[in-house]
Amino acid sequence: MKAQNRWIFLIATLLLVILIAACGGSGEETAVSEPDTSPTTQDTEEVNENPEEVDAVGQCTDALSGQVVEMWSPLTGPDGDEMSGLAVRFSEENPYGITVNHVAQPEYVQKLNTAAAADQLPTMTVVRVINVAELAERNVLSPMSAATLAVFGDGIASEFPANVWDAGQYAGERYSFPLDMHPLVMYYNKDLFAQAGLEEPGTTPMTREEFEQALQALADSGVEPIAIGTAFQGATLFQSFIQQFGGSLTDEAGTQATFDSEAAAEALAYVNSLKQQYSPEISGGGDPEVNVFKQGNAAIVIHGPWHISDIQKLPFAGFAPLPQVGEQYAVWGGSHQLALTTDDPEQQLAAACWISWLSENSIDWAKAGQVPARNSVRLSPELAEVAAPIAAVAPTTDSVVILPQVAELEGALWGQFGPVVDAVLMGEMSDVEAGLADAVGKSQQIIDENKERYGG
Amino acid sequence: MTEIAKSQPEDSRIPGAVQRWQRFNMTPYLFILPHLIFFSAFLAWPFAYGLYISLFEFDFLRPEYRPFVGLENYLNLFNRGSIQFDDFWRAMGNTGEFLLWSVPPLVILALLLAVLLNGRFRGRTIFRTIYFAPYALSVTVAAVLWWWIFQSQGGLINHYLEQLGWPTPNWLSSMPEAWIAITIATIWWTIGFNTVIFLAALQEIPSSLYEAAAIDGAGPSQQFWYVTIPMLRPVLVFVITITLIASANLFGQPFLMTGGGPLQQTETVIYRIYIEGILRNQMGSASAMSIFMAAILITLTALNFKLFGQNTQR
Repeated sequence: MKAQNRWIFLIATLLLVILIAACGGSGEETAVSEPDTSPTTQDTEEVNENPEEVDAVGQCTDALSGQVVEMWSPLTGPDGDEMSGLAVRFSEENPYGITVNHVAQPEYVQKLNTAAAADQLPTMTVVRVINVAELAERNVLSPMSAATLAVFGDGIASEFPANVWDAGQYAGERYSFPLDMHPLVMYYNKDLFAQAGLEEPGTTPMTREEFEQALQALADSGVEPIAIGTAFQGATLFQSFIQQFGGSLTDEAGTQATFDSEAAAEALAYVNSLKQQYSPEISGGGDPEVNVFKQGNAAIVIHGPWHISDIQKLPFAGFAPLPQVGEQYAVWGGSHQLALTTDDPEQQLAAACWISWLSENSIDWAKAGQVPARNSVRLSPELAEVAAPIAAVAPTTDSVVILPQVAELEGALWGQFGPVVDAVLMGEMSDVEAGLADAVGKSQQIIDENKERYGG
Repeated sequence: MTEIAKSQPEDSRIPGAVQRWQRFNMTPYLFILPHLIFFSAFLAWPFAYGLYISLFEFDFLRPEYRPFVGLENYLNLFNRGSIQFDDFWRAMGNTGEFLLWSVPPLVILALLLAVLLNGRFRGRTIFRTIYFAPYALSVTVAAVLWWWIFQSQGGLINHYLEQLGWPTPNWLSSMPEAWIAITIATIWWTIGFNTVIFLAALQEIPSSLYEAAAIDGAGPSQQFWYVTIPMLRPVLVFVITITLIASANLFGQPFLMTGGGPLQQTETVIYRIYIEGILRNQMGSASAMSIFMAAILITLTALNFKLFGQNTQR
């Protein structure tokens, strides 16, 4: 009997433990809701209280000594090592005693989401500019307080091209600070160009005539002129040319999908004609078109600048901006920005000191294969010495088209035009207009639904 | 067991509330308790919570916006005009196609392998280990490995095909090559599991049955069809069932090898659920898809047992 009672006691304890564990699990979510909603209200108060205090303090001081800034990023390639190096340098050099730890994470948005749910967010993160609105709406990012912004100084906005600075502003708050931009780059094979009797393209974008003549000359010389694949590459070329032909993906507010225009159909047809006329057959993910170029089997490939660090090791590689084939110049690109994931005033200040330093020293970041966003760095003659390929494409950054800052907008658009672009480029769809019209309809439906979800 | 159960109440037929406990035999419940704990924590509770979530528009990071939508998430799956309809049913079709590609080889090849490995020959333990080894890998390792083998620019297979002067297809971005690649990767990765189950069942078959069949003049193939297959029937049903379920849950291989392409033709239901729930932050809708999928799998399993499990001795 006693033995049995002990068993019952044991089971009861076990059940209790499970119950507590289960409550811990579900409690986590309620815990999420509490800190996430209440701190925002608290913080607006704090933000209002603090300015006087911090205005008096002014800038970065010894008061921040001992602060540890943990920064996450999606920089998992060689650029991540470069960033870690910069973090170590700042930690050693800064006179305030701030330490920065850099952690590169694949699938960083998902990591941030789960960290937010578990209340385990770092101090700050590198974000792709396109994720800012979504992460802000979903209580992952915290707006920069007035005190934090004061660290950057008053004239900070004029230090950046308007397109990239404005992109960090959302719902009346500043959520992110521009670090770099990454426009498409035209990589070319110097040897094959010379063989075809062509001059190398300079840092001014080639005109449509020059571009097409070059392609034809390359074809006549018996090489594959250009490598055009599908997936990311097809979609970004389409997005560049739609703007060049005078169209756009959305209206200015990002509430209306507009890629069913004549310009859009023209852009897609143009990418397709390049592929059919001048490219070997390439398709699929994992950037196979870049491999074709690296192997010396195609004279040109147009792709993101993150391939620079690899491609510049090839003796034959040259770098130029995307050609201008339409009325006005435009190029697809993104921007890495620095955003805060904490409301803690001191943590925010410490992070701001690091951001400020990083931005001023972003000439070193150019080595990692990105175009520094800061004007004084990007336009300095030093850039050409430190990172010549970056200097070749730096002038195009003013023409980088950044989507309006609307939550989940990129997914709503790309998820629909992407498959159409692929289908056309793979020869599975011939009626371009109908395909785009159908996709715009679905995009619009998703945009409307997102608007309902996120308000606005 | 039954005797003990009968005798116990007689011994303890003393009036009183406490004694009632003694009539209630704790032992079997204690035995299932360890499993029950994990089952409740990791299956029953998440399933119930999923059911609950599926009735809301649910984003776990936005507790401030979580409207109750009733059955709308389910109805969207059947409403031609909804955002989810096309993508979901394309994914269902793709998953069905993969079942046709993968289940027959995974069952038949596993059975043949098991019969081979059941034979008496030198080093059979080593071979058993070798065939089972890939199963110990994670899906990531298996899928990335096969991506390198199949990828079209400098991949192993195309490298050899090129040397032989044969055509080199874009394995991962054309149809049906993408399914073939995914199926081969899946077979290589998981066939060891089915094989081991078949092997265990084969060893259970009494050798006297084979002897009897041999005396009656049955050759090896007749022994296989008239002794092995009937004796394996319950295990066969079990293996078909778990293979169906495993294949219907295909995600890692297309996610890592094809990205759902070409043209979303290898985008499976689980892949779609991932996009809906994780990338589009629509946990409610994603849960509804999961529950619907679970219902289909339960039906398939029940049908499978009903159709093929009849007349079993066990």
